[in-house]
Amino acid sequence: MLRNAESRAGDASLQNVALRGSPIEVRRIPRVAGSAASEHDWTAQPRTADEVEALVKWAAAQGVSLGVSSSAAHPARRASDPVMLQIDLGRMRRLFHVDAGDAVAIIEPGLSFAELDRLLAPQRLRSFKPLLPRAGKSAIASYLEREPLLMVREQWDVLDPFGAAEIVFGSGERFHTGAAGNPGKMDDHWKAGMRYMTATGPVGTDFMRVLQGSQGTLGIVTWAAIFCDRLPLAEESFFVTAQTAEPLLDLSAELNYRRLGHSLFLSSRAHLAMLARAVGIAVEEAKFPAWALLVNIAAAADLPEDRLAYEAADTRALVQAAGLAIAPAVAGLSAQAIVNRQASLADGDYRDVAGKHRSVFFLTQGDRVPAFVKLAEGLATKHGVATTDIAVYVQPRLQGRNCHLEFVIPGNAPRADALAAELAQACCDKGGFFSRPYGAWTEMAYARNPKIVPFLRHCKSMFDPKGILQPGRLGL
Amino acid sequence: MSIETAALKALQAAVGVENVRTDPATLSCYAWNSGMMPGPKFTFFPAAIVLPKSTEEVAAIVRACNANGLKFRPLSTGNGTFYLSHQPNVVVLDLVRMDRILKIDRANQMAVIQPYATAGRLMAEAMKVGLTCHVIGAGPGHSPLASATSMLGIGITGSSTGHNARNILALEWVTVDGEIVRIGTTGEDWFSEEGPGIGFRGMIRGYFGAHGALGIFTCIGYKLYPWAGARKLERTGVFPQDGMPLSENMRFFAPVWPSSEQVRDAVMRLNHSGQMFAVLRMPPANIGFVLTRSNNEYRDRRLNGTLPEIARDESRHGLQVLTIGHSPAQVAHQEKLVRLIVEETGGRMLALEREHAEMLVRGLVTSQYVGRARTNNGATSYGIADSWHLWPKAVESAEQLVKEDLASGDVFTEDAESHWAWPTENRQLWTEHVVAVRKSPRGGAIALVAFLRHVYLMQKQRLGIASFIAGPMIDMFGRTMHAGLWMRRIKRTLDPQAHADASMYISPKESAAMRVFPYVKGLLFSRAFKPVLLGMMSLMGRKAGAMKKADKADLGSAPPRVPESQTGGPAVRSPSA
Repeated sequence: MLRNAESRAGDASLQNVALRGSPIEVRRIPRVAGSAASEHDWTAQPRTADEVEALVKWAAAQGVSLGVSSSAAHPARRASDPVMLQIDLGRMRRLFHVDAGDAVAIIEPGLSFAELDRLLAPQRLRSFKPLLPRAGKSAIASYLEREPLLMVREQWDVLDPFGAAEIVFGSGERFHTGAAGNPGKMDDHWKAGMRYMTATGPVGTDFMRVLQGSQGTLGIVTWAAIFCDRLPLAEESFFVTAQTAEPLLDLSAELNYRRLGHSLFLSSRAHLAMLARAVGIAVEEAKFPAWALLVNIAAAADLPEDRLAYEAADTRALVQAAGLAIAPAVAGLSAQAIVNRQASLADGDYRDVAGKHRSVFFLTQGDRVPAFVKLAEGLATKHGVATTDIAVYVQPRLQGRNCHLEFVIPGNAPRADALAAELAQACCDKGGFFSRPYGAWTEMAYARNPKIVPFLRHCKSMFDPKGILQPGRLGL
Repeated sequence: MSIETAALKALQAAVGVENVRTDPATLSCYAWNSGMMPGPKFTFFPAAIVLPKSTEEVAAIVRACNANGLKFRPLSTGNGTFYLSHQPNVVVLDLVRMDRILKIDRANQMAVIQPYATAGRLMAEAMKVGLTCHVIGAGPGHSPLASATSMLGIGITGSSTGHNARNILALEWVTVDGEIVRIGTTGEDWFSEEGPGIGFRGMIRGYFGAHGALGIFTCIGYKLYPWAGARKLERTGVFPQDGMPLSENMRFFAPVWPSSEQVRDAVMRLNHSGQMFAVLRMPPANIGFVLTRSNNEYRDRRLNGTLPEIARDESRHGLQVLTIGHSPAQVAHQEKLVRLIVEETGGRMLALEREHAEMLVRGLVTSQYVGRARTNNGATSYGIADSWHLWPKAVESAEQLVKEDLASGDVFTEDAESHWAWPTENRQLWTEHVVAVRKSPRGGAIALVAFLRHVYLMQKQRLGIASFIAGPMIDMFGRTMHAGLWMRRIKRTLDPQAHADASMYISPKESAAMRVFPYVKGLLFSRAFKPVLLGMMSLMGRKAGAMKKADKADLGSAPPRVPESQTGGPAVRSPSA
């Protein structure tokens, strides 16, 4: 049995076992920066769900721990993860079906946002995205991580934009979720008119919901139906600005309530500066307003101009009633330029303005954002970080019912680490909900709700009874 | 079924003497079979009825049941026969006293509710601040918490209010061991059901809920939706033909088309717009039941050809469409949009009398249909969901089945088929086929056979996800990809001692009959085999009846005679009321 640390010392043993028994080719890959140069990981690049299933069964039988990566350019992991064999899904890049009528596509996990959008474009569709993802980021991986989407009113539920999917659990069992759980095969279903629009189920269990957020610890998605966004026939974007966040948060709540605006989010001055750099505009940061709400109005259905006109008029009326300023650009940064950038993504992370960054993000509700901002400013001062350097990004979710609040601390100096650690704990203590707990945040999140932890372990023991998938992740 | 004195005392200690009932009159209210299932009028009598007031009391009852070898089953508002216990020795927790709406939060479009906060009450309170809630087909008397956590959760305003399986935010859960656990956010925060990390919520609620088989939900954060109508629903008309006035920002349309394909095309375009408050296809006869005061009036007007056009057979490819705008500009856009789509898809608008429009709009907003549209008799129904591409085929298949069932003489429908259908979340098809059956033991068996054959055919024709799949049906129709196997694993993991009644979730073990089902289902549901299947269902009903009579006979001697002063009086209520 080769498991984790005890076998880490013997890469040669792993090589022997892997090469001897793996159902597909396994090869060495260099470890990410920070690891000892002599250490290596192993990777396998399956091309089909059958190969994934075979790999997982083989790994379970051999006791080989597995990591999973979907973004072809990046099969790396942190050196501290006790992962032996990395399954790189980057070669699984097929789009099986797409239907413009229902705006649904069935895709494999290796498809990046950029590739997916190219494939969807002939149907006048595009993918739902978080703010400026890496071009090579896997769409399915992003959705599995519950990354916040820009299109607030289209997100009815956390599962969105997932429809039905195929999963290979850590047990090696292959499973079809939701509507795909019906008798028959995908092509037959599609021919009959099914579009896999139901993600939940089948019957009494919501398998995809269990898997979402599990950081690869329970199973591997080999394909999924996803809802897509229709390319707009008409659109307009603008900023609403203010000196404080409160009036913009109120406006955001009202816009979400009225389902006005296709995409919207709130940025602090430092965050605006990051976005400006991302779209290639050099502006002195001080020229940006303290806070800005980006609102994109887009119409893709019948009577697009009429739709655009009423949404723009209603939005302007609300802005005027709140006594706020509205403009298509601030300090030379056009709102539409940011929206357009979503359609031509870059490879890097837009937040890496000082080489690297630290992020603290969690869920809260719009009306509680100002208290967290104040908390962050206090801690920044304590750590000798200028409050103006902290970028704040507020992304409303679920049609406005809660929001992703993110503090971006530029640089990677020890004090940035220290501030990030203390800020995360302080926000957690004040009710910030770390629904996506990475690394050290896991214990912090569990400490807020220790009674749920045994039930999360039950999930792990059921779906991955031998504990081969991402061992140690999420404390499982 | 009797209850031991020690167990009774433990339950009384948990909630007080006055909130534990074992008198036959009360128990019979909770054993009444409303006719949806074959079998006798009364099913298994619960061991006791307990009425907790708080989550802590629920937990204490669960622990008392576990300590005394009793199973338990929660009940909120109760609908159909899903509330019934299907085995002896079950304590029913009637959550009627946990009826609070703890919070309505307009800015964040959500509420925090207990199990017996009904949709009607929640809607009335939410409308005061410009919000509304999803109301399932059972109508405004149902429990949104029960629907969202434990049942199906589909309602006709799905275009704008989603689906209750997806309307849950945080949950408070009393486990089968009597522990109180929060899923999602904790403390005073009820805004998220996610994580941390793994989405555990998916284990306890899938497309269908667990009907209490995995524990009891005592409070949830719940999504509310924008309501731009009046802050209070005024009433028009004379009972039972209640209506509501259309406010200036509402538009109600009754378009019809020559074919189901055109309906499909129109609905898909209406969905794309995201502007609809409600879009409903209701069978013409059901519209007729709503617009007439009695079955006799409906019959007379049908025979003499004076039914309103919307309630006539020739209007069967029709919709009811309701839009509500937040501004005059939006209202104008909505009206222009609906008219354009109807015209371009080859439809036309029916003219409606004002009082008829007001009745239909009230039905759309409140889902208060059950009492009116089902005046014809008990009904059987199945649901399917997926793409509107499936709509024409669903109509055609139902027509074929109805033709066969009508020949039996025990199934009724005035229409060629009786699909109720609407979009969910402006994209998915939901359709539910409703036929009436004779109210008799044979009628019950016929209903069950019709139901099973419909589900079989829908699956065979790949017409989306079959929805009313619960209890024993999971081993029949949910066995693809071993969904039942996973549910058994979950039940065994979360409730290894089988404390919670799982009659409507999954049986502990797959029966031999279910194992051979895949090999015989073709024959079982063939037209030729239908009489045999009917006989089998009738026999099952009689067998269940005999067992339950024996159980009922036990009632006279076994229950401890609790003094009237301790029971707080006679029967509490009928759960189906």
